Formats: sequence, C-alpha cells, structure tokens
Amino acid sequence: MSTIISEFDVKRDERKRFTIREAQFEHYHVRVFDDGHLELYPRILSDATLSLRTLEMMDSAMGNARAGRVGAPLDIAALEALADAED
Amino acid sequence: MGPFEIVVGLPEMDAEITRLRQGFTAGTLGKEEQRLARKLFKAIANLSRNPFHPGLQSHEIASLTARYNKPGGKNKVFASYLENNTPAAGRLFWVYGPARGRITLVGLEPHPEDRKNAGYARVQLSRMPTLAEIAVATNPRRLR
Repeated sequence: MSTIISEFDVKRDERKRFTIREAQFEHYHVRVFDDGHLELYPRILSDATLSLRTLEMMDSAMGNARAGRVGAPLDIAALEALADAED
Repeated sequence: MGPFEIVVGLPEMDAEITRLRQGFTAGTLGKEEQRLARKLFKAIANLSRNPFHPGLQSHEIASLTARYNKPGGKNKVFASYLENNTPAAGRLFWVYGPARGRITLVGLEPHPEDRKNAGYARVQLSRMPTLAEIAVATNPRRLR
C-alpha cells in the first residue's frame, strides 16, 4: 500500500507545463484522463529495444483484441506442412 | 498444456501472415522471406503445441505487459524466438486470449517494412522499478 509522502498544488505555466517537485525517478509513464486527472508511474529504461513499426503493429493488434476483434484461427497443420515442404 | 488455437492480431499481423503464406505457396517470396516464413510457421506450430517449447525461449516482456495493462494487470505479453537462441533471427510477440485455450499473435520482428530499410526507428523499452530501486529512489540515504 502506497503512502502519501508529500502533497502540493501546481499551476500550469504559459506553455501548459507544470513542475513536479521531488520527482524521484528520471522517467515516468503518464496517463491523461478525460476528466482532467493524471496518473504517473515511475519507469526505468531497459537495454532492450524494439522496432517502432513492430510496436505500432502491437498497439493496433492489442486494441483490436481487447475489443474482441482478432483474425480467424490459423490452420496449424497446413502451416507446418508448408514449413516442412521441400524447396 | 495445449494444443492452443492460434489467432492473429488485426490488421497488420493478419495481413503479414496471409501474405507470407500465400507467397510461400505461390513461390513468389524471395529467398530471405521464404526462410523467414518457414521459421515463422514452425514457431507458430510449436507455440500451438506448447507456448514454452524450449526452442521458442518464450519469455515475458515486462515493459510491454506494463504498456498494455494497468499496474497489476495480468495480460502478459510474451516474446518467442523464431530461431533457437538467436533473437536477431526474429521474434514473435503474443498474448493469451481473448478466449480460454487461445493465443493471439500481436507482433513480429523484423517488421515487413523494416526488412526493406537497413536503418529503421527503434524504441527503447522501459519497465517498472523494483521495490529495491524504489527504496533507493525514495530514500537514497538508507542504502548508502
């Protein structure tokens, strides 16, 4: 269970930014909600990298899967037969 | 465990697997793509039989799990290698579901467009800090 260790008010500046004092991590993942509230989660960069296009491919696939939209089941026997086929 | 029914994510993953399957059957793929298709089809068959088949080296990518779940969410994202112990040969990304006994393929690396360009954009993944890292960040003097 998290404990509040500090609480303060901030004012947005002219460039629509504000400062979070005492930020303990260098990177955060931010969620912006339509009711105006924000959530920040600390993140640590890992060494692993991923193609930007693959990430975009996954974003759309995950969004569609969440909505129950996926492709038809694959015919595994047919794929395996292709994989084992002679050149 | 298994066999699992394998479905593909929409739209790109579905389009790519269809393209590779049709190209392979028609003999219109180049040598490299033919090799990739063969490895991909084999990996999918292994995944269907046993998602943790030793040749796949399946492992969770925590940063992707975090990207697609709220904190504490359970829909883990896994990566499997297309070639045993050779991550550079290609990776297949998948999740369990949407229904029980199903696996959805959500991503493939190398991406088909990336295979055409040598220098393509990559993103650095990030993860949630561990409890020890949080302890150090919130009270650096404690572990000094």
